[in-house]
Amino acid sequence: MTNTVRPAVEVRALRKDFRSEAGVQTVLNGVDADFDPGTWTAIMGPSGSGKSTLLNCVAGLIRATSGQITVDGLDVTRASEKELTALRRGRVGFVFQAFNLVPGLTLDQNVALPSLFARRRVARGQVRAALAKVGITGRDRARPDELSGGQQQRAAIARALFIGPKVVLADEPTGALDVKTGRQVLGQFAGLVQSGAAVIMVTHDPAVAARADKVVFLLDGTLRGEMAGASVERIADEAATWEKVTA
Amino acid sequence: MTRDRGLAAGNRVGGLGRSLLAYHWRSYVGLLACQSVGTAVGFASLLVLLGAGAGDGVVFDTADTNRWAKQISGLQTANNSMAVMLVATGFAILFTSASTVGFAVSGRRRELALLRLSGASPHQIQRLVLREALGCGLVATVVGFVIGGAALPLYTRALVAVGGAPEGFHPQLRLVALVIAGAASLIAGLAGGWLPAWRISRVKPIEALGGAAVGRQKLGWLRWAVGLGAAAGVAWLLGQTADSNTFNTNSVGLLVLTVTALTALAPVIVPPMALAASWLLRPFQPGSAVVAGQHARWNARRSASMAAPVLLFTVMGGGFFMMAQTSQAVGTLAQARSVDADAVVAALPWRNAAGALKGLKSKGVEGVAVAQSDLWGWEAQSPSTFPTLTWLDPGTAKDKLGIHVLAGSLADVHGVNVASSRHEAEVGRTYQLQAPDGEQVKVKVAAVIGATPYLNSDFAVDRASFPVSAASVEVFMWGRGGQERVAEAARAVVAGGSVETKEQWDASRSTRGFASQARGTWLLLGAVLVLAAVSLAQTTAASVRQRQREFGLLRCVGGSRGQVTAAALMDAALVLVTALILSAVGLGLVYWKLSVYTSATGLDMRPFLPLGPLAVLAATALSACLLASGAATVGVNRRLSRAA
Repeated sequence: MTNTVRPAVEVRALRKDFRSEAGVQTVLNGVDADFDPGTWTAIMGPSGSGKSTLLNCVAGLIRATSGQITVDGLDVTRASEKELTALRRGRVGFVFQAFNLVPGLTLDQNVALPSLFARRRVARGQVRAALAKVGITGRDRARPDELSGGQQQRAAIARALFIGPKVVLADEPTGALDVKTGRQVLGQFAGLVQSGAAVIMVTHDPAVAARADKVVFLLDGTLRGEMAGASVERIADEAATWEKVTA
Repeated sequence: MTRDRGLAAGNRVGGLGRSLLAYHWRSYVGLLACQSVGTAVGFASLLVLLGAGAGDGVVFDTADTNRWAKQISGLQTANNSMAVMLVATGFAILFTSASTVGFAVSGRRRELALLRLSGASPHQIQRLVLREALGCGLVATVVGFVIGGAALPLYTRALVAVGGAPEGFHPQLRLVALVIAGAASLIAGLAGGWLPAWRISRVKPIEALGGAAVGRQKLGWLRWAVGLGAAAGVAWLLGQTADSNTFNTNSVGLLVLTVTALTALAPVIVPPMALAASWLLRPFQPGSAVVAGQHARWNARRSASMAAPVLLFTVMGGGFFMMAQTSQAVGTLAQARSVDADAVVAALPWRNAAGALKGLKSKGVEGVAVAQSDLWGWEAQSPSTFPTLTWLDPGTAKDKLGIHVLAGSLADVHGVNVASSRHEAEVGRTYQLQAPDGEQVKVKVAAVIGATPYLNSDFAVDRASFPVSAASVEVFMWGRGGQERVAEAARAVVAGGSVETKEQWDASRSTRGFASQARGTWLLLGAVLVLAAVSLAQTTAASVRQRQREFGLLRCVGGSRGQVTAAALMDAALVLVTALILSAVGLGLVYWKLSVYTSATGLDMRPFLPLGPLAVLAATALSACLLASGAATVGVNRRLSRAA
């Protein structure tokens, strides 16, 4: 008997078209992928290749044109708004390049936000601990604009971590950070993966991608290649190769 | 289980609503101001209304019938005017709340999308926004009570001074007024905020990502359907031929549908018009004009939000005014045609009231001429300019000339109590008048035709309530000395009563009551204007504040403070001027329809456009927007300089 682990995220024959005045543009065209629990996957590809669209489809933020995406057992392509809301509250964490903290709320409120919406009891100590985990102490009552970019991003990660997500979706999480802060943030992701979450991260940076367990390349809406445990140089070479192919 | 609203206690985290309201309080300053003023006016008006019902502070003088009648009439006037004031303030709060909350949340779209992304349900977003409106409303209600309570004596004195309440009237503070006014203010505020709250609760979580694939906001199908449906309704009504039975329904329908069509379609009409208008400004400030025009174009909903109050107040205000005029004139004519009148004198607030009387010629009345009138010239003009039947040639009138006793009609124009205490001439009664040359003239009082319906009913009520036996006729006929002549004839037949010519009447009563009505009208209009101006100023200022980042960018690429300020001012002016043009179009449609209708009914007249009040409204709206925009831009510029 084989011990099979059900993927945290399953993507099957995913297609996403955008309609505009210029016509129909196919951004994702038959994407198939599995993202297992406790793994960290980096998605790379040139601009416009569909990386962010794939992430948004997985998050249920935009509806796929066809295909199926299952996140922690929920088919997000057919899920109701209520089911998607519940998913965002408890099972999926988001980290974006633009931090996306609510400016009117204090840091602890921002971190506890999904739990508060889920009407769960949240003790301040829990939030402080979550913030401390990402290296922020004594600033839990500060507002986002009182923090540096790095602190804001770490707070955003703390928010994603706080709900104990099964899946973390990150779009260029270190794009706006300096190298040192970027490393700290990636360290947080490593911790998340160790706790059993599946991390799916979009990045342009081979050095960031090298921290992941697996790197997949997305080109013209299709997954074209996959590397596991590769070095920064190999990832950079591979990325350059694929970019040449598409060029 | 702990809910998000109560999480601030102890060592728990929360109080999201309070935190967000504290952070965005500037967005609600306008609502707070409007709702406070509205609650204050509503509270004071309700106290006056209830006090008038109980006759607070008035010592009735039953021994003096005339005085008693005046007291009763005064209380009734207070009652009526306060009812109008309550409706007006309730509507103003409702509209201001809808406008302010709508605008406040539209600027926070991304933030609220982020809350959705963080797990908030649409219902939670809606509740969050409504809670903010409620919080604002609670503060405004308390402030309104304090202002209203403190201003009550002043308010009452002003009412008494303008003849809107009897001497000695002093309304008491009543708990029930506190409860009703508070509840009404909160309900109006919440009701106004409900729609924008519902709309923003439908925000998509993806919108939090800014640069993600989110299309430009388009006009929703519902708005298209409502706007086009209303426009179709307008077209249909314009093509209808209304008769006296359907006139009121058609006119109100036309007004409501015109405003609905314009406001619903404003997001697609206002922006391109504003953009086109910006071309006119390009020679003066090219950069600022481009920014202003494009901003007005791309922020369609914001432009529509700014334009909506102007459209609503202008078209509704002006349209109802013209409609009421037409309705009165047509009603008067219908009455005149239906009665067996020898002649009718009516005080119509019309420029071409002659038309209303022309129909009478068909009844054989000769020698009729009518002086022109201008309602909005009340205070400035001599009362002799009121349209009045002029006895041009007594010889031709003979027994064809009759008198419409002006109990109702000129009571409206000249002030209080004419109907209740002075006139006892009865409908159907015939008076024998004798002209100075000895010729006998029979005069039959055919009908009492008032310029305003409520005064007609007042007359009916008063006539029943005050059966003073003395016959009394006031003669408002003049021209070639005919007034005195008729007065003499009247005196001869009204035994035991009094006959006054118009000059005598004026001399004995002055025009105080008449002028007070005009002041009262302006008072009401002023209150609405203040509320509208605060609402507009708030929307404009919020719009500028939301653009701080954009203004920073403009400064970065070489824009001076002056150019940034010019862009903000132009933006506000463009939208406002566009809204005024649309309002003029709307009013033009209503005017045209009413003109067609009056022509069809045989009236040679046209509605009188209240250009003065409309100009005041436009100037106030424009000033409020420009001042708010300028002030907010100065603040933004200062913050940008500090940041730099």
